[in-house]
Amino acid sequence: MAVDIELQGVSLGYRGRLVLTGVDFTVGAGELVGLIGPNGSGKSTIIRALTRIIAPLKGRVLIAGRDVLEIPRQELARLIGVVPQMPLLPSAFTGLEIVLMGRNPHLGLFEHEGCGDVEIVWKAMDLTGTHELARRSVGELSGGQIQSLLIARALAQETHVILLDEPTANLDIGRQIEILNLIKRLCREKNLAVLAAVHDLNLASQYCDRLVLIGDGVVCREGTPSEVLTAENIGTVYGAHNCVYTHPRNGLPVVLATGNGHTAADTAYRPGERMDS
Amino acid sequence: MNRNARHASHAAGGVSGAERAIPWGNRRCSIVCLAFGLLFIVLLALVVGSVPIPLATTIKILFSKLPFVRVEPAWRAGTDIIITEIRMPRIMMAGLVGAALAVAGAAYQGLFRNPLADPYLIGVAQGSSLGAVVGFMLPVTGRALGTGIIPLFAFAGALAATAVVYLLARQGKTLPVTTLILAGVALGSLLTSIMSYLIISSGDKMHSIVFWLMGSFSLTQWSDVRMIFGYIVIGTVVILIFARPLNVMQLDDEQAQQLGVNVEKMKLILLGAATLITASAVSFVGAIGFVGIIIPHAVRLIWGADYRFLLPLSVLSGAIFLILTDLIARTALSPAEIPVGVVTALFGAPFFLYILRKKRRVIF
Amino acid sequence: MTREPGDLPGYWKKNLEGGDKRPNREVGFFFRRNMVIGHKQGPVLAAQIRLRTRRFEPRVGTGAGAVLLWWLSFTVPRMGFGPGRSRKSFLEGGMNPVRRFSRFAAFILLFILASCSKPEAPTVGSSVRDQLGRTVPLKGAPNRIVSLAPSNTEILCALGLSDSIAAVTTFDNYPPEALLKPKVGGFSDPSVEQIISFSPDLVLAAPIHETHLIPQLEAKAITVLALAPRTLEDVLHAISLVGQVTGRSERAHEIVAGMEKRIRAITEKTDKISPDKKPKVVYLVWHEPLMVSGSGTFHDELIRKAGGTNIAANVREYAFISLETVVRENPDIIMAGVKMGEGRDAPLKFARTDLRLRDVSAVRKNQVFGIDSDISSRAGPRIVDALEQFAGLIHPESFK
Repeated sequence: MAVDIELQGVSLGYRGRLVLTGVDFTVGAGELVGLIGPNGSGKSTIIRALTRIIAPLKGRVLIAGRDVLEIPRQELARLIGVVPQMPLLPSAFTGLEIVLMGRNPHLGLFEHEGCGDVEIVWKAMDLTGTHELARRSVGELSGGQIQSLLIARALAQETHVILLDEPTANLDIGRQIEILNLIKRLCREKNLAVLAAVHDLNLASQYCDRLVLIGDGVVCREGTPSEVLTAENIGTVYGAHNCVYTHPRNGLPVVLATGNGHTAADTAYRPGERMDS
Repeated sequence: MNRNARHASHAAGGVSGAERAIPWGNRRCSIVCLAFGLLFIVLLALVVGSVPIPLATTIKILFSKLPFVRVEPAWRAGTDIIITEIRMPRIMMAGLVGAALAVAGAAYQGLFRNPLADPYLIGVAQGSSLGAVVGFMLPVTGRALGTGIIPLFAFAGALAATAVVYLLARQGKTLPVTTLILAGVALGSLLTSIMSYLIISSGDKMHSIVFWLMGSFSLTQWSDVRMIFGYIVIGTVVILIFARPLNVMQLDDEQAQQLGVNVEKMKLILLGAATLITASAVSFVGAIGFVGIIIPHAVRLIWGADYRFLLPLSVLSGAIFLILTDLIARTALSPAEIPVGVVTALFGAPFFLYILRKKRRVIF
Repeated sequence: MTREPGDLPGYWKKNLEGGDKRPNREVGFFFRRNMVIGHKQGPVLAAQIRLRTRRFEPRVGTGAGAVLLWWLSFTVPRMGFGPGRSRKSFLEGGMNPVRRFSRFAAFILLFILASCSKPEAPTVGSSVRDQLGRTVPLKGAPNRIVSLAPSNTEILCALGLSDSIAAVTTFDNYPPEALLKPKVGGFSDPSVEQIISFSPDLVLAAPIHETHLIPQLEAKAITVLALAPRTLEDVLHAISLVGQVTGRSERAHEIVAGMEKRIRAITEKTDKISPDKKPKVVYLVWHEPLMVSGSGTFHDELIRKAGGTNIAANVREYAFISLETVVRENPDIIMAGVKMGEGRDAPLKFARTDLRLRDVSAVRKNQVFGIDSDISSRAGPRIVDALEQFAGLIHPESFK
């Protein structure tokens, strides 16, 4: 079953404070879309709207053509799996118990996890390389290990849509590549719709099929990495000028900061001149 | 059970065999063992008391109460009254109250995600004490109602206090637990001060009030047990049913919702059930401390934090603990009795500290 | 007239002559005094265990001091201050045996000397010793007396001093004129300011006031006489003490003599009753939870003197006991403390109607009685009335 996400003219906000207006984009099945934007631009807010934590002030959020507000919570959790950003986990629980919670949306009130569920959970833990964390309590784990567990939990949810909020924030470069490769592979193999809020523009550029750049409360640009990550867009949205290069291997855009005010177009530093003028 | 059996066979033939099995079996086993332990403790508590009654006599008396069984009463007059009308209701009450407080404590700790939560955190005890004091101040005693009006007032006070806390803490459609705790603590203090004032100005009735507030199992009758039995059983079953959502709610509200738990509904149900059973327990025996906070933690230390096991194990451990405590309270200085609240902490605290040192696992 | 130590009842005589031989520490539940003497403590909720040191025994103090000094004399110079010396070498016996013995002998001598030093001798004539061992000067007849306990008020009134009473507590309800007196607050928590405002020349206090109130009053140079009667004999002594301090010794003597005579009239008969003829009695102080009078209470003494056996004599003071003990001991008579007023007959109702007591002999033979606890547990002159009532209930055949 192909499931996609669609946002139609969505305005979002908290207690009357408007965060985003007129958000319009779709994520198709088998597609990995990156959500990028500066801190506080509303990336997590979009994820909250998709999972019915907050209701849109205007517009509609559709999952597989249905308004999320009309989908019961448990059913929604069978459609969307979420990897939250650095959440608090109850430290007395073991890794296995945390991943098992991913089966919750599939179980009725009087049911408990059966062999099928256990198999799914172990598979998810194998995929994410977390099986050796199964018996350890979460309180003893590092940020990266917890991140992997959360991805395993989302996989155990067996959903058609996965939302990731900064999935690689706490990981070292090796794990980042590993996790993103895994996500991309699952996306392709299982025809998942994946929306990831990504902080690291380079990873977004390398892995995402499309990017949605938000800034100033609106969607600024939507398209392939090469279309979105231009020097102009990065300059206006992030206020970081002249940082965009081209990857030497695959030609995708690369965003790099340059120390001492040296930038790509500005090889000679001239004292007294303002950087952003 | 069937699913479980299939799971076991699957795990055995699975990729890494026993390694892959989920360690549920031994916790299930513990539940069964504790259930037998409870039975044993009940028998022990029936036999032991300030008046020595041989086991054989006890069993004969128990059988004589069964229908269609004829046993010649070969015991001293009053012995059967001691067994069936003094000890049995008392043991029953201690078991019920222990189970209720322990499971309510575990539920509150899970609900509030706070290891310091106990059943009295959001004003149940204070509400019930105030209710009882108001009941004492009224000119009627209501002895005609069987157990009198005091337990009814205590029960109503406990529920009313929690309802007020709930309404105060509610923000729109959500119920932030921190607000709930703070509202509970603040209202609790207010109720306590009102109660203290009432006690001071109660004049002649102060004796009765002070004694009631100290709490005791000593005069428990069958009618008391009958009154709270239903509430405690229903409340406990409800909490046990919602153990898995409660597990998921140990993550934050947002994650729990994303995992398909209707957090606000769950809070209301669990809060209601836990409050109901705490209120029933408190309304007859007063606010017995320690059980509600320490038993869940002890269970957590020994068997882990999974609420699907934590809750039933707390029920059994709480019942065993309080029956045993009451047994000590009535036999240690026999024939004198020690208030049970003194004994709970006196014997429970060292035991808890012992497992705290021994186990050294992440507690909460 | 001043009583010589020789005239005093046995126990107090002992007290005046050679110091108190009773154990001077007691552990008891807080309601031991206030609950049952008919007064109430403030909202102290839990059964707090109160450890009270009634009197510091000078001899034990000096003895302990001697031990401490002796020990220090060894250890301080040797605790590793000097070169090459250590505590260890001392412990291993680094000292020569002769010196060691002489030190020990010195210690023994010191201890004996310390122990022999007598506590301060009582001054008789210008002052008396009250029942907390305090020295109270005799200053002639007072006329503004503040009584801080209902029993004290009853004694004062019996001595004909009701006009000299300036104020009482809110719990004082007998004799009727006590109800009309100004109040200084409750029994456990009277207001110091109020007491002082009456500028009393005598305050009659109780043991509960020992630690806080009495020092405050003494600091204001107010004469305080503390009464702490625990037995009938103590009550008689308390009456004569009050008589001495208020200059009514003769009246006090008359009252005491009258009470002694009435007590003797009963004990002469009951002493002759053989133990197996003495009915088993239990005095129910409260029923929720079950509290009875154990040994060391007035009720216990009254039951014994009235020719009964207290089934709770093996517990001390007022104690919670289990209902099963009562059922098994099967008392012949149940006495339940009651008071005037709404709902105060609850223990009596309980004893008469509770089904679990249905097989108890007292219930079957309808021997459950309500006893006015104001009379039976208040250490005043009416305690003899209670004794006569007890005797009449326990041995109706001998006492009408």
